[in-house]
Amino acid sequence: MKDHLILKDLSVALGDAEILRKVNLAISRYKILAVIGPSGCGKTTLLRTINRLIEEEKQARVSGEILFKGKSIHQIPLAKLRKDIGLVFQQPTPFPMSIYDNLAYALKYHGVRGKDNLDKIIEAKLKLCGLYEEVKDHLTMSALKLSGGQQQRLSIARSLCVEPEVLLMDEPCSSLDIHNTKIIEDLIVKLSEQYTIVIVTHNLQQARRIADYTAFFLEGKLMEMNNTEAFFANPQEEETKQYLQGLFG
Amino acid sequence: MNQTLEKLFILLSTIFTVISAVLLFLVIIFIAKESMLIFQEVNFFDFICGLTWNPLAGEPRVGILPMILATFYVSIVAILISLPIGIGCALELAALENERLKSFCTSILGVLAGIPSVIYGLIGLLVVVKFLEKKFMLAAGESILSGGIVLAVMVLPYIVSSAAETMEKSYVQYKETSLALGVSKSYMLRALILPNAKGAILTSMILAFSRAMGETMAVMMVIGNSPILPKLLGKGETIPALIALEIGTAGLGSLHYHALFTAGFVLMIFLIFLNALFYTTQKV
Repeated sequence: MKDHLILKDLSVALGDAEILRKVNLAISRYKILAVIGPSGCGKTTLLRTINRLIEEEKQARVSGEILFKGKSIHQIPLAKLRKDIGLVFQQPTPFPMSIYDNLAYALKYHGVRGKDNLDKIIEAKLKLCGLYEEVKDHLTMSALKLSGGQQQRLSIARSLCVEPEVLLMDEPCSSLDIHNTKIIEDLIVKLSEQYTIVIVTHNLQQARRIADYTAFFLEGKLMEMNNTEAFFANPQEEETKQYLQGLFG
Repeated sequence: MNQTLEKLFILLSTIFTVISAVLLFLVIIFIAKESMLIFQEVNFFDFICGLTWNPLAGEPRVGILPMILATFYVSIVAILISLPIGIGCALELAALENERLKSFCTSILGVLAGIPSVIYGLIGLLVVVKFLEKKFMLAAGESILSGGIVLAVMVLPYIVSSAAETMEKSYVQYKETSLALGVSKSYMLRALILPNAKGAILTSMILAFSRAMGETMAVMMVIGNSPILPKLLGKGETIPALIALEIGTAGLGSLHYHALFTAGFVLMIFLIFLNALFYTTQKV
């Protein structure tokens, strides 16, 4: 099956405010989709709707359908859905515990037992995120002592520990400097060999550098989506052109 | 004009600050002065470790070890009972998302803290003491255990409010991150919020402990007040109870009088020590 996630007529409202309006979108397996658009266009809400975090808000009303591997996300147990669809937040959010415990936290909940098993997974994910060499001698150190870039890579490694299939990323580089942004971007490209990735970004150049597809949202509507090269070279909609030219944002 | 007002304001607030600091020192100095006199007649060790309290006998004895032990005993019993209840309550409050229910629960805790201790004493007599008499076939239910139970209810609001504050903060901060990992809320409370609140729990424990040690009326009403070595189901007498019961009848300047002051001084030293501990744990 090529399409990993399919959004059908997805609308989301928070109280009286319509955040997403009838979004139709298909996301291919092992590809990177960049979601761009001005602030308040519903990018973050899109991610939070896919892993049903939006339903934690009492005022949220969701209509339409999201299919994950052809199955409605409401037919999948919540714990399983969120395990399979990971979310990395804008701000790095290490838990106030050791680096090791940060990574073991969700693993233990999802039933991984035994120190050997935990060690193996944790080491593999730290290596994947390029953090292993930096922290291998300090696994018992508090994760709060890591630098911002390291914290964000730890957050990614933590999401990967529970073996998701899709990784949603909400502006993962917005609080990082150029050097760390480059590291995370390289990591995202590497991860797309094994994971389907949806990344929300403010940074048009970032979308251009790493994404296979780019989708432009405006006022809760999906205006345009295409493979990244064509999207930037030849935008179809007038609004897209203006946004890419920096006429608003 | 404005500047003079400003200066006056600063001057006044400085004066008031100094006054309250000086008050504390005066209290300590006054109590210390009144109590040091006793060591002319009794040596320090006999006073602290003496087992007999009989200041009015022909050969007066003033040992306060039973009272020191009883004070710690009821307080420890109280903490042992209220800590698990308080932590559970704080966790529940921290994770409660219904704002109206939460403020209702918080206000109940506030009311609990505001009930006069003499009322707690009455309820203790009526409920706890009676219950212990029936349950354990005691001749008298007034005991260390009943004191501990009554105190446990009294210190509960202190434990809950200071622990819940920290827990709520970290609950709000980490909730979404934790949920996004597919983890349940109860697991989050157990594996993240609770361990992270260790410091706050310790702090709340110390705070509650010092409240419990100083509590006079409610404890006095249910504990039996015999100056003997305390047993869980036997009578005992705490330092505050001893002082409150006897100071009225102690002759001014007598050995009895000074012994009571010294007992108060000892209690105060313990509490100052606990407070210092409280501030060091808060900083960590």
